[in-house]
Order: sequence, then C-alpha cells, then structure tokens
Amino acid sequence: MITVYHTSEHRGTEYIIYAVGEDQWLGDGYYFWQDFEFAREWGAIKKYTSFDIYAIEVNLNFDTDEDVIDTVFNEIDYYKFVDKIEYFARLYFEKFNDRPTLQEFNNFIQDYDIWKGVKAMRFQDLPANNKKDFLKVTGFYYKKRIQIVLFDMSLLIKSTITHTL
Amino acid sequence: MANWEKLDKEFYNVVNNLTDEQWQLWRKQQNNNRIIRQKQKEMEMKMHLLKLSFFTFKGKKYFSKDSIENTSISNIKNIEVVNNVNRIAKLDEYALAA
Repeated sequence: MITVYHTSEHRGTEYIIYAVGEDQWLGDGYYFWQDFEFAREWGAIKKYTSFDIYAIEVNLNFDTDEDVIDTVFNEIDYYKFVDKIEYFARLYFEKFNDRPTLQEFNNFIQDYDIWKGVKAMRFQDLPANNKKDFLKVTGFYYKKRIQIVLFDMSLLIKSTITHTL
Repeated sequence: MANWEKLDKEFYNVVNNLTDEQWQLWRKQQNNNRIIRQKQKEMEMKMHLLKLSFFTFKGKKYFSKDSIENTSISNIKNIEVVNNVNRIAKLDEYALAA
C-alpha cells in the first residue's frame, strides 16, 4: 500500500481526474505525485485560483508487484522501457521517415493492447524551473519529481482531500 | 520489477509482425481509435467515480494561502472521516444484481 497525491483545480467535487489527452506522458490514466511537496508545487505551476490536493491510498507495491513498471528506482525496468521506446522509434522512422510523437507511441501501445496487464508505472518528470522553494541547494535538482500513473482504477482504495489552497 | 519476459513478448510480437500496410493503416486510424477508446474510458470512469464518491472519505483541512510555505505532510492530521463502507456494499449489491 502506498500513498500518492493528486492535484486538481478546485471544483467543489471530491473526485480525482482521469487524465486523457495528447500531453499525457504515459497515456490516459490517473496521474499522481509520489511526494506531497510536488503536488503542492503543481497547483502553483498551473496557477489555479484554488486547488485541491488529494491523498490517495493505492493498493500497489513497486518492490514486489510484477504488473508494474518502475522506471525511477528499478534499473532493469528503466533500461527495458527505454529500449522499447527507441525500438518503436526506429521502426517508425523506417516506415515513415519521421519521428513518432509521444501520443503516437501511446496510441500504438493501446491500439494493440500491448502491456494491457500493466497496472501502473512510476516515472520521473522534468525538473521544475519556476518554483524551487523545495530545493535546499540553489540550482541543484537533486530531488526526483516522481509521478505514478495508474491504469487500473480498482487500485484506488481511499481518497481524501487533505488541502484546499 | 516488471515481468519483462512477458512484456517483451507482447511488444515484439506486435511491432515485428506488422506489415507495411498494417503500419500505414494504423497510422491513419490511430486518431479514430483513440476517440473510441476515450469514450469507452469515460464510461468506465463515470462508473468508477460513482463508486469512488461513495468510497471517498470526507476529510478536509483548510489552509490559507499565507500558510502554504509552512505546511508539510506532518500537519495533515485530525481529518474527519466519514466512512461510507455500508453504502459501497449496497452499490456492489446493486451492481451484482444488475
């Protein structure tokens, strides 16, 4: 069991958002921050007038579960995942003489039901540039901005709004 | 760690066995596929959110914007919990009956 955090604009509801769209790094799913401080930071980055931070309990264990991909802390998962992306990109380039987009990679994986059994992925977002209060050493991005995407909604066990800011 | 024997097999079985025509077709159809998939997911989401709404533990702790910088995870406590487990069980019963 792990606790993760979700930030969304305050809407007066108590639902977390299922993210869809072309800018989702790992396709459609429920996206969370692993650390509270980045969930809080995300609300500031998005410049929401008011936002909610949810603490979500998820029935997930990245150390023992086999149906998860952990590209942040598991070296094998990371390099295997990188291999797949670049393999796809090579084939795509051979076929179309162009680079695939993020959305095309995600479309391909989902269109062909590849990795349908994968329940969740952990990955690292880019360093933030516009709010660095959580960094204790200026200019040193020593903290991973870790995100988790859940594809299996039944993993969500409990949802609590912890902050309305 | 993921089961890469399984994941590799799933991945390479598809990418290595598509014909050129299938690649072209996929590229043309991917946006339509995506729209259809999203509609399906939206339906699944509505059902899940309905369930989650019963599942949600109503805990709220409000902080002023001035206190953001002084707020840490250790401050989150004394959350009022309203447990709707019985209502969830009812919902499951309805779902099973349906």
